[in-house]
Amino acid sequence: MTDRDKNWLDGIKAGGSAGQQAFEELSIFYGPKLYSQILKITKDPTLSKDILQEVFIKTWLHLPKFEGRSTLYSWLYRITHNETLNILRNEKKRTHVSLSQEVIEIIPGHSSLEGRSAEEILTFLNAAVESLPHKQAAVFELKYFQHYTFKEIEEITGTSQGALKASYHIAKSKISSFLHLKLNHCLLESSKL
Amino acid sequence: MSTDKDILKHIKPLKPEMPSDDFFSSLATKAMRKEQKQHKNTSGKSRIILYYSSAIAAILIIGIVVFQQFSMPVKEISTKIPSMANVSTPEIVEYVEQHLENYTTEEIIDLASVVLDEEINLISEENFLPENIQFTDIESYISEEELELFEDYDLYEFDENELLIF
Repeated sequence: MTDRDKNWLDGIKAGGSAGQQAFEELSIFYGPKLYSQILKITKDPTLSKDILQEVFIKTWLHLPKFEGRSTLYSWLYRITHNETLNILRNEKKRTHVSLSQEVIEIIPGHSSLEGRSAEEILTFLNAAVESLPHKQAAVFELKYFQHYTFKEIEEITGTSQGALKASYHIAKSKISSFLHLKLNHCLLESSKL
Repeated sequence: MSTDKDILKHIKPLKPEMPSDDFFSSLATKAMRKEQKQHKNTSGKSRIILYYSSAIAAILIIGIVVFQQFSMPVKEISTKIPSMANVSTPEIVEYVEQHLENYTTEEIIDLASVVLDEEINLISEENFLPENIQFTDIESYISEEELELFEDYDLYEFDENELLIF
């Protein structure tokens, strides 16, 4: 855990105005990172804002119990992921009109991706990320989707750059294999029809 | 053609449009306020739930008590036992031996005490003597025979039940 995270946690645990101040700083720092993570799944900016709000309510409630067994970002990543999926599950029951935001763009030149929509690929990509352990997924999220450098991720998570690189490399190969398998399987199914 | 290893190179993540900085700076305040509101609502709701559940519990208890009062089993009086006056003693003994398991100890004691009461009533009415013998005949017999039946005995030495044996 970074010293910055530790100070925030100590402040929040102490309570009072210092706690509120610490929580505000934490929200400004982690808010944008978690928002991107949510938007990648929902593709809906309004819904993503609402979910992020809920995530921070949960964070405020549970932070005093956070034991620091993982990095703060990894812990927040897990809360955000679970909360997003829970809310989406409930949202599906309602008729929800949303303005979809493009999250990825397909660059031509790969046989497995040909004839596939960006939305379809994103669904597979999200499923692939979901299959990773949370720490690996968190690193992949920051590096691949949010374009942070390893140095910046080191500052965010407090994990060494070497460990981050190894983690990212493993995550990337797992995701590539997952995508390749899924897309080829779909291709095979459609050719049968 | 590209291999599966560089498939990610063909998927380019786009930088999302981010909300304004104000949104992120107000996140914490909103979260803290909302959490307090939710907490208040929850405690208000739990108080209402507590009132309702207490009322329901009270109604249930009253209902159970009233139900128990009305559903007390009525002590059944067996009509199977024939009138003892018309039945001979061996018949009664035989009947009891055959049907002993059908009756509880309490039932047998109750029935026995009814019979005993009837016998006592008969005795108290002083009609236990045969019709051809009068009370005066007995008195004269005692005086003629010079019997001093109770002189040597203190009646109070006898148990009340012993005196009732004739």
